[in-house]
Amino acid sequence: MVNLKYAMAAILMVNLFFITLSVIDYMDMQRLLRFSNDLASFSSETADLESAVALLRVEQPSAEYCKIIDTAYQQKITTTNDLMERMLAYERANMFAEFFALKRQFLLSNIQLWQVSQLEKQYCNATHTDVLYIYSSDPSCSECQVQGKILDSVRASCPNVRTFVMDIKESMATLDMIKMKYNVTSAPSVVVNGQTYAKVLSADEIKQLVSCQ
Amino acid sequence: MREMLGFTSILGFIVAFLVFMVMDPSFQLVYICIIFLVNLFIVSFYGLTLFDEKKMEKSGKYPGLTIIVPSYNSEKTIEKCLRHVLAMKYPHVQEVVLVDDGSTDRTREIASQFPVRIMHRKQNKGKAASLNEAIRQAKGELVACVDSDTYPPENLLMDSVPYITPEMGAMTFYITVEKPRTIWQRMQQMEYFFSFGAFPYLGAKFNAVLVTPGPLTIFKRSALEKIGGFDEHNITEDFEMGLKLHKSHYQIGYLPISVPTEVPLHFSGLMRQRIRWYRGTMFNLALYKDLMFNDKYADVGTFSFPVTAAYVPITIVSFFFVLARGARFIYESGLQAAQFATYGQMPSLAFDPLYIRADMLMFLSFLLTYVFFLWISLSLIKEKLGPDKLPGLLMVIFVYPFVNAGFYVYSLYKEMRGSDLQW
Repeated sequence: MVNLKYAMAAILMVNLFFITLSVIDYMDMQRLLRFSNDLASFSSETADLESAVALLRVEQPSAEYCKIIDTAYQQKITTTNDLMERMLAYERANMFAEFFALKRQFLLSNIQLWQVSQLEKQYCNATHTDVLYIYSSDPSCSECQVQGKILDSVRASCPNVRTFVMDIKESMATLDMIKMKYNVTSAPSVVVNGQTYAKVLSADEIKQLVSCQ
Repeated sequence: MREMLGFTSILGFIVAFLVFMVMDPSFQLVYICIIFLVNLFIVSFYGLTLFDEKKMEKSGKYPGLTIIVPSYNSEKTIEKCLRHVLAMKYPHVQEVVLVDDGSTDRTREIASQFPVRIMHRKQNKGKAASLNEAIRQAKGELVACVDSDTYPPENLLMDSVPYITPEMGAMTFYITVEKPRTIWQRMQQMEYFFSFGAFPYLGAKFNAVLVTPGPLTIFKRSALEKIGGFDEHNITEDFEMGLKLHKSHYQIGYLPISVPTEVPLHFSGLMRQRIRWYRGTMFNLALYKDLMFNDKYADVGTFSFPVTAAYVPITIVSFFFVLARGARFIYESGLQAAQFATYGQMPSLAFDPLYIRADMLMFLSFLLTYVFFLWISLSLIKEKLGPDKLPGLLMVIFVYPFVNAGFYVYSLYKEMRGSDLQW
């Protein structure tokens, strides 16, 4: 016969265990909720910019249209960078909550934004340079974190640089096509002006490539 | 053969380290959860007994009592000890016996100034042998064994002897640290609050005190005679005595009366003491393995003994777990630092409050439960958690677990290798 004391201790143990797990889960959910809210507006703004650029391609490109797009883009560029940094941090911290659907959504919007930025450059004589950074979510890729930090610093010192991120392990049609187009096979890699660099680039090297202003 | 065992244990340590080194984070989490569950069960069990009302009945009897002070080269503490022992109030102290176990210093000279009977032994034969010889000659119904570096309070006997029931073989007390000076003593002070405070206090409610602490325990002479006294070849005769009493179905009582004792001043002394304790623990656990899950011995068999036994492998394995994770962390941050140095970029020190990992949270809940037990322990003897205890508290939380686990690992190696046992 099981002693009542042992049964009670076991029940208490299970309860305490689930309370702790719930607290962890709650924190995960809070993190996710915050990220999800920011991501929703980010995605809708990206869609907005995409349709604006689509309009630009149909109509005659004019300086006024370009100005509208550029203004809208400048307004959201800090949001992009903030979301990018948070995504990379939460990816490692997350425990229980499903983070990956949000991550895919972010990566897709981010790539759309990159395409918008490239079209803007093509049609509007813009002076900025787009840097696409391909990292790996594998925690053993310590060079990826180094490259990420280097790009952060380049972005801070060169206002004409726009950085975008892509996970090499994530498989989506758009991402796969871009990977194929630029012949990306390893992380970290950097794509600047259509050229792929499959190694860690130092801050000076990147600044030379993007003609930092 | 023993050399082979020692070698095997080192091999086992290396394997454990490497396994944890390459372990997937999800498996690490499983390991943490298992340890967390085991600890939660122990804490819950003790926590539940907090509400168990066990009435202590006062018999009002003050039978004859013999005080035995075994000593060996204790000239520094013997004077203070004897002064405290002789100041204890009790109507029927039959004799105070000081057993001088072949001391080579001034112990006997100092002791001769006090009204005690000195039993001189030319050859040093150890504490258990000294005690046994004195017990054989003792006359009282009770025997109080007091270490020569322990300072019992004046009212100890009057407050405790009436509570000794016929079922009890021994009465134990709340051992505390006498005026801690070094940081290691401060750490031990906090540790003693845990191990001699709330846990035996709650354990006594279901008769699950396993040790009769060496510094001071009152025994029933009839019980000692029945079980044949102390084991003279055991390095932790106090743990062996506790198990032996339980095996003969005697109960061990506990009263939260603070009994200060001297503890090792420095790390080296602490290490020597702990290696002895832990080797003794492992040796005696193996010796009394038939108590394990044996419901003939009630909660001792089903809870205290298995928990004490489980604590040894858990501590040893966790040592390598923490070591491997630490090594991994140092390796990864070293690698990153090297790469940052190569590309001339400083790592940033951003902190996101939401970036809290599960294991940190579990550590936090551990901390909360232990603070709770510390609070009970302190309130038992009306101690206050003042700022003077802060260094000890920090040490016991951040340094003690790892150092202590290291002692366990070293003890296991020595026990496997079968090196000479030293008191």
